Amino acid sequence: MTARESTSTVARPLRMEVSGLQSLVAALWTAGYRVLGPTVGEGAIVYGEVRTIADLPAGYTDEQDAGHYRLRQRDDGALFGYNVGPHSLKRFLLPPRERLFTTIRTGKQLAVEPEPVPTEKLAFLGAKACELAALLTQDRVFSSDQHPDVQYLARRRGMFLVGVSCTKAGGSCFCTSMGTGPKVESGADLALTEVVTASEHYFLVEIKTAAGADLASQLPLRPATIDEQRQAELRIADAATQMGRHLSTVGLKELLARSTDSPHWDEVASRCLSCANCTLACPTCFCNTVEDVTDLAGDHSERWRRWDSCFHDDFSYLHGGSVRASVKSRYRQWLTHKLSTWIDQFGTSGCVGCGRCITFCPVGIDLTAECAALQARTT
Amino acid sequence: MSAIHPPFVADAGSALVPLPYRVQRFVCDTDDTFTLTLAPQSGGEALPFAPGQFNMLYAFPSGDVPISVSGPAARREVLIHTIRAVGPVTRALAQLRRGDTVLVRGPFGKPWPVAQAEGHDVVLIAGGIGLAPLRPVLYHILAKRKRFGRLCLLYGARTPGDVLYRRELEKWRGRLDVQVEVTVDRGDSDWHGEVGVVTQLLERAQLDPARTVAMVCGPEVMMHFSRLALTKRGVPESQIFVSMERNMKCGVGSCGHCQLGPFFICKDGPVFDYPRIAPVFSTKEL
Amino acid sequence: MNPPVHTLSPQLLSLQFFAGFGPAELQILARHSRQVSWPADVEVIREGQVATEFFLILDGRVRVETHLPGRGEVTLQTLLRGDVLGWSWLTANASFSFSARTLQPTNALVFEGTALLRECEQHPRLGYLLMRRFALVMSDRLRHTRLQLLDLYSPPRSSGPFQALKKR
Repeated sequence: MTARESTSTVARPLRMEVSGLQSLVAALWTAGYRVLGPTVGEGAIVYGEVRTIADLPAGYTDEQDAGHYRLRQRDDGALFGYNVGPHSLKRFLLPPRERLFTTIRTGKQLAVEPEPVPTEKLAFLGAKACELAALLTQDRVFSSDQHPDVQYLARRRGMFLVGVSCTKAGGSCFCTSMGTGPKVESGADLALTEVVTASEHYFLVEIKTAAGADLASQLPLRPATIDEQRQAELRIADAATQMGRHLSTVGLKELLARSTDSPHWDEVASRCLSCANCTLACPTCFCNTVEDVTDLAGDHSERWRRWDSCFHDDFSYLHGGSVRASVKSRYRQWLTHKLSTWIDQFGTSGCVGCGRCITFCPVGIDLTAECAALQARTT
Repeated sequence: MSAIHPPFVADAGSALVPLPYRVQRFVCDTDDTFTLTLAPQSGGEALPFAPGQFNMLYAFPSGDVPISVSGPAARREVLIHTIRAVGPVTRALAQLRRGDTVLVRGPFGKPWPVAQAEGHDVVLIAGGIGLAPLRPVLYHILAKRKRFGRLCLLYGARTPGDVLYRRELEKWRGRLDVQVEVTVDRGDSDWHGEVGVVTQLLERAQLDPARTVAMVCGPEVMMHFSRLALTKRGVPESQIFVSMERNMKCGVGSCGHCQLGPFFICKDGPVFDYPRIAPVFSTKEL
Repeated sequence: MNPPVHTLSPQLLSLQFFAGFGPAELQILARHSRQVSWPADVEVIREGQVATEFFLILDGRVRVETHLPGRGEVTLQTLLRGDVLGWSWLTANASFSFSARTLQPTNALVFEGTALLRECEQHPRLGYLLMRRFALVMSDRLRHTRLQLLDLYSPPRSSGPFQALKKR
């Protein structure tokens, strides 16, 4: 696969009309994929089924800032003119709730029936660069050599990814700080850049994998001109200058590792509600727990895995009490894990700079500002 | 360009799905601690483990808890676990009877450095239920006694009634090739053994500190003071090993619960050499 | 009664207790000490008795105990080779707070505390070193007592009422 990929990297970008995008969606359904992409719902842009391009959020954008998210109209009919919504790909690979196995009791015997391995093939249209980076980050958690997560990897293997580079940045965005965007460089089968001008609306298409090349061969594409490529690059470059947030990552891992006793944690804790919104919205937060559900007869029990959060007070429960009893210790755990110990564990930062934790924090706690405050205290 | 899909092993069994085991034997050790001997329901050998590893034991339908294996690794047909009944799941496990079924996932975690300890004096320092995860080490060393130097077990319990494996302790104490010292925090009129904390016993352990490997298991405070006493005695920090404990749900490093600083206790531990865990050891609320 | 130990053997000097003392101080210590041998189950000191001596255990085992109505003799701590028994002599005219009894045949050095206190007045360096030594003994004892107080192996506090396992 690597060899074929490397040849595709030198392939010239292609131009696809909006009608070509419709062909792409149709081709994915025909190939047996359930196509998910951005749709307007729940007052936000969320992942939903995309049967035709009419399902896409044409002319919508999002306005984001600390503790602030609003849908707004654009005046140009762009289909991907937003940044990220409250959903991420996480919910499709690690569902908020999923059954792991069922136990049936017959007399003194117990029979365990593992949940069947998922076979549904999912295609994602419109995954942004930070979203794709988050996916690769989560992959490392669930694909350990010794104990790979069968359910996660089965879903992951079947995925087809159509990435879309951002041509605008939001108020909570800082992907440039994390080196994850705004351009979709890798992690997708096809990478699109949407170009809307006064007279034209088209996509620049880059083929990133063999599977992407296969699909592209079914689409009405033509080589992009130098000008068309430049139009796309200009827009991505523009987005890179619009980042609403910035995070200085130089020495941040080490700073957090030695800031265990910083008085700043008390300060954050005075604002933090420990509500867990940040961890639920975060596309890389993977913490989960299990619960066992039994029927009334007590002969049938199901084990469910569901999302959990290090902000919950029973998360660290041990021998009659929580190790992290204070909100301060939980916020410290979350931030330090995300930006410091994650690197020890998985070789990358746990943060992709999508800004969801900032936007969806009910009191507007801003990870970049908290880091800046910790950095300021030590300089 | 990197592959976008992680490697996938089609036939890998899920570490999250347990196997049924039958309770072969139930022994009450103390008022609140008991030992289960488990054999695979399907027959055949039990999951092989190394001393210090743990299994997730699932009491139907309550849920599961991490419990270290306390039996000999050489006995391949059974898994032996010593459990203290302190919460809903461990109390449900305490209700099991011979012939009942329990679900087992594992074994998980990094074991005690038994191979590394060969050629060294070995001191095992146990506090309370912490004796259970160390017992497989003792079995291992006693079975391969010539490969090791002096062997010393120092064990601290709450009261005489809380002393685990009493008969075995007496048997080991009768041997000439192992020093067994037991102390309790509170004595009673029938107790003629030591009263005091386990670190005091270290002062009379017959060891060559520089070539001693120490394995310590018990509450964190007890391990902390044991480490201080070992250092005072001259045992190099790199030869001190501790077994850590945190909330665990998955056992494979993907639920996030057992994190302690950069470590997942379930897969990076539970056994750590002291220098590795030192930066986060005894850090409040970490 | 055994005569005073006029010189301390190298074997005795290897005990941690004597670390830090110079030849002059060791000579004074030797002059006010003698070796004793107790059989098992001998009350070595008694609670309430005026404390004029202290002991350094050389071998055997001694338990520090007190009597509680209804509970009998309760062992607070056992002392072994190298351990010091008794520090009430430090405060003149004090009495022992607890009793001590041998658990097995035991050898010890007995020091005449009252006489040593007088020597300390004449030899401030001896006084200083002896007080430092006892500060260590006491801080060790206090640390161990605090650890015992922590009751580290007790059942978790919020585990609720627990019904002891029935022997079966």
